Amino acid sequence: MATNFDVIVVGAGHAGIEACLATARLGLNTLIVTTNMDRIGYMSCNPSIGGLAKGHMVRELDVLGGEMGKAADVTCIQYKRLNSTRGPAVRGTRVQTDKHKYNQYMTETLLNQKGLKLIQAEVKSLLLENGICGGVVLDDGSKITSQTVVITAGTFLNGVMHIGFKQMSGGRVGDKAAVGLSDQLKEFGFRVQRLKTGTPPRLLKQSIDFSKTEEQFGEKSFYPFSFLSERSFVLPQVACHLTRTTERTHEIIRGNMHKSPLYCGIIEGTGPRYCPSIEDKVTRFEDKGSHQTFLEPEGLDTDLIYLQGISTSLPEESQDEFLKTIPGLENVKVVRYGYAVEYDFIEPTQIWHRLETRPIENLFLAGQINGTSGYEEAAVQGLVAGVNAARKILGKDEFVLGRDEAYIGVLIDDLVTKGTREPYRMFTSRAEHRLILREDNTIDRLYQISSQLGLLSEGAKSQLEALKVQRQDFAHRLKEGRLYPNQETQDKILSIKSTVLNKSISYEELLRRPEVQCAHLEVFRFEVPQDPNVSEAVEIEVKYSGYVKKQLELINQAKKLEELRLDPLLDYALIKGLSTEEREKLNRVKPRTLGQAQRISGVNPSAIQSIMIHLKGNRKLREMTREHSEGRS
Amino acid sequence: MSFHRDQDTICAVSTPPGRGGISVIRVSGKLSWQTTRKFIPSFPERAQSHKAYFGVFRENSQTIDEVVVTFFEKGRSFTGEETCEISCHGSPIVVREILRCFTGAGLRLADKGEFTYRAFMNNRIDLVQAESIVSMIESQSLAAAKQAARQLQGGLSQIIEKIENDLTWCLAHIEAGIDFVTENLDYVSNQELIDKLSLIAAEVDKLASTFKSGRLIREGVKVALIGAPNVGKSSLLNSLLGEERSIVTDIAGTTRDVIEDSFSYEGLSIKVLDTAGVRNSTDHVESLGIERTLRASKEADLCLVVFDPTQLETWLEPRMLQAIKSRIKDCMIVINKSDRLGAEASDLLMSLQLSLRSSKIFTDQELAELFNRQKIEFVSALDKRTAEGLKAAIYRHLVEAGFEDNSLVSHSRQFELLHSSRKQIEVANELLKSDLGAEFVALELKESLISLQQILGKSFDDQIMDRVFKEFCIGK
Repeated sequence: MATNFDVIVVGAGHAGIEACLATARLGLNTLIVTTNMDRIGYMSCNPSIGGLAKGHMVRELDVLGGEMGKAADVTCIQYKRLNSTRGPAVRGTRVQTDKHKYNQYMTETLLNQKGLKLIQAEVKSLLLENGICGGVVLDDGSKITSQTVVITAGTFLNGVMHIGFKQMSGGRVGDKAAVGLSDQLKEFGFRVQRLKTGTPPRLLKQSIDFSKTEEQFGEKSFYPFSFLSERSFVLPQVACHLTRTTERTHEIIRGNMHKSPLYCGIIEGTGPRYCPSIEDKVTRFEDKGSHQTFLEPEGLDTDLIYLQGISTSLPEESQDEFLKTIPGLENVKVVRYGYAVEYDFIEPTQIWHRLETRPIENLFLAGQINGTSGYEEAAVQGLVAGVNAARKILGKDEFVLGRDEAYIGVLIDDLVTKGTREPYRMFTSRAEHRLILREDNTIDRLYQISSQLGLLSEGAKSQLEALKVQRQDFAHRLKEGRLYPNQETQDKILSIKSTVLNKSISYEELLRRPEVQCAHLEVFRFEVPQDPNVSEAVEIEVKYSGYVKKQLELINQAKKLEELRLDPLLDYALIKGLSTEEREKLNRVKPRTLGQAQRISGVNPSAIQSIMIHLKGNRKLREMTREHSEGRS
Repeated sequence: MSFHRDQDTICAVSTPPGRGGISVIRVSGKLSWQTTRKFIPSFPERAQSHKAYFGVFRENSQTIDEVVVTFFEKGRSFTGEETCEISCHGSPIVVREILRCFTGAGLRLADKGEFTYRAFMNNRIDLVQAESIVSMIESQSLAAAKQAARQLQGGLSQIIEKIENDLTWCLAHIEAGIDFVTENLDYVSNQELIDKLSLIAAEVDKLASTFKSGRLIREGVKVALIGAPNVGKSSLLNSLLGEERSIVTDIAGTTRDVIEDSFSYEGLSIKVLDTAGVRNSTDHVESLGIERTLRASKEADLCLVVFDPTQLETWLEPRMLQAIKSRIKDCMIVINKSDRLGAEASDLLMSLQLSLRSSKIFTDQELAELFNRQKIEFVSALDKRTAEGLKAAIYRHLVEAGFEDNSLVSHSRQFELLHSSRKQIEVANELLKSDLGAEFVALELKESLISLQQILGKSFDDQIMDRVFKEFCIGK
């Protein structure tokens, strides 16, 4: 095997996949190293992709040329559009996937990717020289050099799994932990901390009495993640089943609490509040008599059922005992018990927005190693890290998305500005420009940027451009087409439960009425595009134009601060008028722009003024010295 | 809310605190002229630089003051920005009112040193001068914190924190409904939210109305003259008004009904109520008058308890003493006919205090409050100077607490923030009613919460999600 590549990607999870595909597609000779060839793009936890904010990110990733959306579309076995009847900005796509087919799809995509080499090995350490990373050392001692390295180690850095008082080294059942790498980073001065996460038991389908549960199907009209996917399902659609824990379940869990490593102080890492273990749930919400749980099939050809909502690290016998008190699970057979995982992560204020680390040049980090949780959060970082690892080699400027452009921008800006204390998951409420960051307008937000990144194929580009034209055309027809208050029109308007016209209006104005939807326009023989990618986006822009405009104005205001770039080498100790806390925080984060400086908690508006005075003062001093020296010569 | 504070148009008094002949309010930023013109419609659309304009500053149709506005175009002012300098009469109330109008129209009160800061940023002053701004900014955060702490004593912060808490609760429910729609949570219905928000809005209103200075200025104040018959209440009224409004005789019980009339002092509209002297009377008409006196003493913002030193033996009637007791903090003793004062003032007060004590109606503490030296005025209705002195005393008593120039600014800032918080709650409620979409409601409420938190000196930081996790059992 060659011992020199342009880029090495360590780990082949959701982040690693997007990273290596990005670098290879940008024409760089890429090596991806995984400890287990059978687990490429493996869904270690729930068999689903998307949801609120997460679905938004998958769509953003798709326009940027990522793979996750396409993989989820073709392996979808149940589809839902969440909040579809609520506000436009908070509709989110979620699919249940066949996790084995997903894993197969990703494996094949990687194997078929030109310029990408895939090997099974463990990376033991990084090749470092003068604070610059130049490759990796594998477990067999061989050295492989590269210009940039992307680490996407997931939960594998010093990963420890807990079931009851049993502890095993590893990041996932069946896979060993990566030991050594995080020690090397620590030695180099990185702040490394510990997080915890957990996963529920997997059950044998045949041992479940589904008649005692409530069947739940997905939706039939498919609005896929990817613009390039067909709007019809590839796989047969299946049901999930809803059941609930009982008082008896909670009693047993409480009775066994002393055996939970979470409650005995064995686990030190911080777990996510939005994904508590069942032990947590019964303790913190004592008065809640029951918690719902979904039985989710892990795929079409598997007998494994994922028990959503019941993550636990109680000992096996306690899990057996409490599970049998849940309706439908009286005779359940557990195939794999739930467990908790503790792992190392790199405190993310130590990385730049481009996901390159500050202490070590040419080293990029993406995914759970940066303190996030979730496949989607990992994947988008993978793409950003991959693109930047490639652009660094190609001598291009960094690729950073703004908070007003994408959830991806919000995610990374939050991480590098504020850090995180628990596994970071994206919520729509984290985005201050939520009304602009919608699922329907990813093309408007990101296509132009994407077409310059170079990850989209020519075919994909022309498809997206065609879509843009269709949207413009539809919007134009709405604006131009008019309705006149004649008898026929008034009757039709009443038939769609709206109020009669007192003067001529355009279709756009009609659509702006709250009670009127796109589909209603067909009553007037106005042709409405069938593709929701066209109609929904335009409808939303029309209907909520007032709010959208207001938000855009705020974005423009905020832009002025975002455009003021700060020197990454600026020493804030030299700036007068800052408090000690502000100096410390600013020096730690080294904000990229004045806007980011303002978002650091504990940095006051007055500090921003002090920085501006300093910058301006420096510029003036420089000008004065220049004039002075010029005058002399 | 503006993300970039340097884009805001700002305003502040630029003459030193205290009362002078003229005060100057400086407005700097893009919207200076445009906003000033809103209140002085007679001004032309475009102004000429370095030219002074005379006009009447009005809010709606109400005149606030006659002012002279000097306009400086962008690039030719102290700050380098478009600037208006408004010269108004040197009364704190006029200044406060004009600033209130401006902040209501979207301007922001300038921080300390902000005009100088802008001047520096726009190349109007040099680096050395700029250095001094930095230290000013530095001390400003400290001073602001101190000031906030001082003003937030007395339970105000508790009330705001409660409102903040309720708003956060609403937001947590809305956000949980958006981000955790699959979790089958028990979040509240729209109607419950609407009801809750209406309650919150009412609380904000109540709080806003407690800002004494704000209310005094908007509605004017009532001052009641009370006391035993024939101590000279009516003479005092006439003296204050500068006209013969009440009939004055030597006959006790001449005033039978409540007579009221207004005068204006330092821009504050003061309504004086002259009441019937209270005594045990068998006269039916006079008894009715006494009833009204007691009512007036309850309604007034300030009661002037008038005594005649020459007839201290005319004790106040027990009902009157009870009325004084119930308003002890809002009573001010006025010794009339002080020109005829025989004994030393302190002896007089002592014997007055003793006789009130013997009524056994007041506690020692209440008497101490009533006989606080700062609050006692010696007047003579016949002396021309009396009116001015008494007016000043009334003004001091009503307005002074928390109304000198320093706190004026932060007071109107609190009021301004409460006001915008209130507006956003209202919009949110309208949106809820029209069912537009939870994210729009959340947007308004978040802004509202941020305004409230600014009063408390807190900054917004993900409290809503913290609350969501506290309130709801969430987790897959």
